[in-house]
Amino acid sequence: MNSEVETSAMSDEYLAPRGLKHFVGRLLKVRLAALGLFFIVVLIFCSIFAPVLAPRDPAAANGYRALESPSRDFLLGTDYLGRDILSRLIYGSRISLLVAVLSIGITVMIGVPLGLMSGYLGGWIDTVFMRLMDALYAFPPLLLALTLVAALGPSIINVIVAVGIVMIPTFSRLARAQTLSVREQTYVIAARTVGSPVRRILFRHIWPNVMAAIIVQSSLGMAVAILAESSLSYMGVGVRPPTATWGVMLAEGYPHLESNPWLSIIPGSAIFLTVLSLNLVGDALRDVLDPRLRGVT
Amino acid sequence: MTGTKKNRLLVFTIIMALAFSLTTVCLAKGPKYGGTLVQGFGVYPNSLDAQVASGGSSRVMVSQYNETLIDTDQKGNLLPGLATSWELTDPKTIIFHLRKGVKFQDGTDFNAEAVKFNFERIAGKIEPKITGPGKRTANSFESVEAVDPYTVKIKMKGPDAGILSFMHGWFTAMVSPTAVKKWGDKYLFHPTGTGPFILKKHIPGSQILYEKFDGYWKKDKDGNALPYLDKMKIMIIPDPATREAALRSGTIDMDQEIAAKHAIRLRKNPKIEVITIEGFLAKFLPLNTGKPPMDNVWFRKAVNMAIDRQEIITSIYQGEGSIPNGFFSPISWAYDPNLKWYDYNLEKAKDALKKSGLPEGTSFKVAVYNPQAKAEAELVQAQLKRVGINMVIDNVDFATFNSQYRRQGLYHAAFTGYPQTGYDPGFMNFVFHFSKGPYSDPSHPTMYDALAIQARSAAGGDREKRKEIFAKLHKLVYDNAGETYLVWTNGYRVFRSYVKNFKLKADQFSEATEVWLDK
Repeated sequence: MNSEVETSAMSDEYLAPRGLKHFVGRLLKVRLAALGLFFIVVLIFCSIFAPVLAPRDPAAANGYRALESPSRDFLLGTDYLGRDILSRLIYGSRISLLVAVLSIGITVMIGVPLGLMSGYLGGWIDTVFMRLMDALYAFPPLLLALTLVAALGPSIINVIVAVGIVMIPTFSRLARAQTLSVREQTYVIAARTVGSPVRRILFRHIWPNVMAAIIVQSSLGMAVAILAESSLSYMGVGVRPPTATWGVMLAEGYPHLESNPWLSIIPGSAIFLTVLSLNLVGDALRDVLDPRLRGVT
Repeated sequence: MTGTKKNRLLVFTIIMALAFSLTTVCLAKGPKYGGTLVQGFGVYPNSLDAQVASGGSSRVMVSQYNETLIDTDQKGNLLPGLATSWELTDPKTIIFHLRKGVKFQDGTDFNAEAVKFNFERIAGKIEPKITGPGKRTANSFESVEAVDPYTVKIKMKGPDAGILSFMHGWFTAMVSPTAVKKWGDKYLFHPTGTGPFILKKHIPGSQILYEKFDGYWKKDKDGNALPYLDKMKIMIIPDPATREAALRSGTIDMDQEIAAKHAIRLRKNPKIEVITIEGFLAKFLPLNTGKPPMDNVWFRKAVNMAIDRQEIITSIYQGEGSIPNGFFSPISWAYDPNLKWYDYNLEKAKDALKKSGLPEGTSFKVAVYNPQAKAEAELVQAQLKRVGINMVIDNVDFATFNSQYRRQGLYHAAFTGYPQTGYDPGFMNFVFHFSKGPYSDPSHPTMYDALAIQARSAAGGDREKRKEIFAKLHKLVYDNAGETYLVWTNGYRVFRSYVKNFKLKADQFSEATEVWLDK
């Protein structure tokens, strides 16, 4: 038992003294990541305080003022039904973030344990899980999501579930690959030798060392999820009208691309900036977390 | 003015005069033969077999090789087609005198036996059996008899004022019995009629190619052979914006399905002509009056009065369209300017909702199956919200909606549209809750049906008498708020200016029989 306490203390040691403050500090040193992080924080703020920030009801149409250019009344103009684009954009951030966070949640909750078990236990469990993942991987991701949403019916929950399922193989493979290298570490072998139960080894010893890679992948995955939601909404299988999402706004703007390009440019830029920010933060996370991992090994 | 300048002016004047006279000579010259007409359409027809094809653009594609007994002009006036004349000897019997010397594209003769064969096929009695839009009416014939090689007598089971209109529907087009027997269930790939063009090649979902039929019977007014064109091509381009670009660049010569926004933009282009057909499409919501809360008449009235129809026209249809006073727009002879429909009135709508006894926030669910209707639906949703009615929109696939949801009564209403044509309004029976229609009203089926049948069978098809019956039917629908009429939108037909002789038929589409290209 003693050695087990020691090994777990060892991995904790690497997390504890440096702490969150140190971690964020290092992250912010990467200037682009700081910019990305700032944008994401603004976005979160917008989505939480949408009812306060949005100047109008995002669903309130006024057909007599359709397709107006930006003005004092409508800061970003109006769409083809005379709805305020700024308000729809702000409310749209809620859907985008919700989809990003929840679908990654689903993916991590299902994909990571599968990967950990596959990697650590090996044998037939590994074979079965990984072939299952291969099968999922074989589908073009968007097509799979489209099929799932078509089967489950259009709703935001179903979009989240579909996008979550589509990303599972990426995460479980990553978790498995990381586990394969970590399980050969002496502290894992030691824990196994003293008879630690599998669950404890997985979550106490292996998970903390796999986590970094998963965090990096999650930030990148969120970007993928936002794009997937936009694509699904663009194709009309996402949310029900009049819910505003960036993908829906993009789709609704498309027929007016020639006459009123801002209808598409505004939500398009929002998607672009969010995905860019998430990718920048993800890249920086990798840079910050990787050396620390090397420190552990 | 110097000498050189004078000379230049003289030369310029001469050139201008020459150019002008040349143009006049060209203009004076009659139709030109030759060339290929390229038409753009959004959807590939559901079948190339005219008797099976559904309406709209499919009808244009099949009518190039198939013709009907009766022809029409834009107003719906009947003209001789494959039949030179016809007479109703009594309200249940009609006799057609057929045109002599007409040949099918496979060289066989068009005669009374062929007509008999065709009506049996339309009724679904000939192997392989088909089901098309004409089946129900053709099945209501008691007998079709070939009196002599060029006379056909049709006996109906009951009087039907719409029978002559039925005879110019594309689905009663005459196909070659020999070809049907030869090809069997593959006939749809080898359609053979008497029309001006022969189907040469078809790439499903993408293109249809036609070539001139040299043995075509019809002549133009000067006795010249028709058609003028050598070839015709139909290109399927689903995206309307791409079709507009194709027309601008001259990739296609004609688009008969263009939406308001694109057509209005093209009006500014001097090389393109735009024909506007006012009140072409009646947009409406048939209500499933058997399904609560839609079974509540005050609720239905509230929905009707909460809709600001002008707002729909302004925002979605660029201000072009009109507010309906009933089902029939001025295109149809059944249009009656004296009818009235619910006006937009927020206060009255709120009042009606109170009278219905239903709470604010009462929900109902609508099906939407095309993008234009989606825009309408979202606007109506926002309008209804103003009085406290919550409309839930479901985007559904049309085929599934038609085959399942409608019968299951899954929705309270559907956003739909029906083209207004010179056809007999008897075809629109279904709109008035005819028991076979999209939704039937369990509280009044017999009343509706009785009136609809009366309107269809009115003795001798006297239009004034039938209009009176339609007015009664309208009153019934009005009192029960059994429909929600939205807007009459315009239809647009656009073509490059070198396309000449563009003539619309009763269904407001143009065929290519007499079209020529001034290139």
